[in-house]
Amino acid sequence: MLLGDSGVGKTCFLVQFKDGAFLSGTFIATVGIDFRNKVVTVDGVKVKLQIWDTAGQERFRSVTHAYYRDAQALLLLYDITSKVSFDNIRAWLTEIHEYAQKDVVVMLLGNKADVSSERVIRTEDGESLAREYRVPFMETSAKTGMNVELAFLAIAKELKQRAVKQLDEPRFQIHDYIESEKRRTSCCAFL
Amino acid sequence: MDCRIKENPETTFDLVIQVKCQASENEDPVVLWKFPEDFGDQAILQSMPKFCFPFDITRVTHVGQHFTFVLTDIESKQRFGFCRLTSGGKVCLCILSYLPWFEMYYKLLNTLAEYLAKEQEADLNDLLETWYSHSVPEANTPISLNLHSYFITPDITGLPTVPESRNLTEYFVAVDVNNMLQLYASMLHERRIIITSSKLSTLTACVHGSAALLYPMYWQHIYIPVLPPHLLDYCCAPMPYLIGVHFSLMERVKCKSLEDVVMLNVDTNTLETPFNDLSNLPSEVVSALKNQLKKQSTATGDGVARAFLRAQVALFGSYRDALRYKPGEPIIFCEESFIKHRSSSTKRFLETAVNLQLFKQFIEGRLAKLNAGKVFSDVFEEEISSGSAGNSRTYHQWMHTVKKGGTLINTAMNKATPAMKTAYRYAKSHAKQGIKEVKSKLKHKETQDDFGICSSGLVQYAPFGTFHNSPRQNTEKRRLAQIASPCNREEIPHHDSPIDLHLRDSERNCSISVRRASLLIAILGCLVVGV
Repeated sequence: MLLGDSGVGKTCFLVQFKDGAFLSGTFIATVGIDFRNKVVTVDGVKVKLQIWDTAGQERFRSVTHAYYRDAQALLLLYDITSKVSFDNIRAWLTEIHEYAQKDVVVMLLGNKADVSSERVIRTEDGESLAREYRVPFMETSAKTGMNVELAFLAIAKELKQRAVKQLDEPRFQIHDYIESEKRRTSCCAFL
Repeated sequence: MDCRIKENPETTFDLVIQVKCQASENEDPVVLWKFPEDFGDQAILQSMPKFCFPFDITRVTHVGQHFTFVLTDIESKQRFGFCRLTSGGKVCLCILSYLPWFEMYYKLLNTLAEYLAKEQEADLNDLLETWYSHSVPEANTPISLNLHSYFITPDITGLPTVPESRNLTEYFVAVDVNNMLQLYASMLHERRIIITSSKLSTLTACVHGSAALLYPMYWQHIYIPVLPPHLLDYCCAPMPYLIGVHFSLMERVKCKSLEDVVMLNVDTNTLETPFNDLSNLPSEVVSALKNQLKKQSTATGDGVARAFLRAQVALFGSYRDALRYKPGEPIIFCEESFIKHRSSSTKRFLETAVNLQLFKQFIEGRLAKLNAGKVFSDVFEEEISSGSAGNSRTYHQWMHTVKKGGTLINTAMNKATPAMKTAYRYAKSHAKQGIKEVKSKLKHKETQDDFGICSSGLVQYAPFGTFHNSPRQNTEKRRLAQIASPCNREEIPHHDSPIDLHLRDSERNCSISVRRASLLIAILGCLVVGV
């Protein structure tokens, strides 16, 4: 499930993930809800991801836990060009920590990384906040597609790991995975 | 803010289309005719026809005549698609409007259908032109569009009545009392809820009708009174929803092996739920509601809606007690004190209920009105006040309190609106003493009874100190911190700096302060008047 303030690019993120396209302008879902299915292969196992996005959660001063109590994974987005969206992340994380399912996978994403000229939140700020709450973090761009696939792959891996629970397999380390993949595939995007 | 009906829509309706059903599910329905001709919103033009045949077109034809789907706009406001199916479910006439005027639009659909059948296109266009160019009328306005079309605009602020409200009437007739209670309870737990029926009119009436019984609250989550076949996957959504599905599509929905969904089949009057939501509600509220609904006299007029309204009052009416006011600052709502002073079963329910989106939005809506200095009343507030009149014991206690400490309340009530200036001067000179008196009476009162008239009416606006910072509250409420509030009296220093001190600080601030104070006093006063 995608969470985050208004305008951080949740819907675009969703569209990029499935269709590899960038949607500009305001997207209006006819009944206020949208989702994308995508099957990704993780270590030979197919994992079906269903990503949900709803319109209008922004109108709530506080999104109550009824909203995400049944989600298996939460992608929490902020906009690197918006301090407010970043400041609200702490509140989001606090509440998620308290109310979401105990085994929920949470990932913090600093979106709009392509607009580096208007950046107000440094990558390090995102990293240190993520460290504090012990959630994996990366910067993404729904526009260029940077790290979008990686974010979902990491989620898929983690979910698969939790579902399968193979005892002989060493526990999947989502942090390590993201770090190694970031370096390998998209390091230039940060330079 | 909390209501999902658009305030002041620009037009009486946006679009009327006549659509022909597609031959197979892979095709799209065909728009035969539309008004206005130059309607430009392509997204609506593409999606709306698909909502006109929300059933398995290969299997069924007789699905009923009138039904209403809902589209949700970017502001989460609902736009209604009033539909009339003819020709064995093959042709649909549909009006899209932000106005929730069901009966009126069903009637208009009949008239339009008649013109279309007789091929009186000129008359049809005249009629639509007249109505389209009409400014949105106030409630209870007689409207005459032509010789054959006359109606009175509905007042949607009142309670829906049987048999006038088609939604409530169909719901009440089709669903038995126990299932109505179950559904109400599940809505008060913000579950994923699917309602199904083989009659579209019954289906959408039940969704609209049941949701309306949450008044003064509104379902805040996904709301799709009837789901077209191409969107059936939405039933897999992990967040709360209220969705209607035509029975011909239910097999496909059940294939999706949904978990934790409450399902009501209206045709068989069976409700399946994995939860015990009804037993989580305070039993005294449930039994009172049940008794009321089973009475014959409840069946007509606003009896059904009022029975639910009373339940809502019993559960949430004491929100007024938990309003806190500090001069110069906005009125806030104190969750902890809202939950305190209640019976243990009520307390248990409210502890979870305060975290419902519908409750949060309700409180925000009330606070926004109060802090804007608006004097408002509605059937909910009236019911809170009148509900206490029946209890003579508490009534006398209340009067006793008012006579001793409440002169301020009475006088201020009379003068607060519209003569704000008088109230300003009055409050300035008397607030300090008055508040002290009322405060001491309140304290006295609270020790006398835990709940009852006083707790259902009093606004405690003693000058409280700063936010208290218990760790629990810190972690619990994120952006809400600004309206979370000082609750625990023991922890809060009682400042002796009531309104009049602040008055000198800044004129703008103080007039707002006084307006808020007057407003609170006015609410108190309403109670006095109410009893």
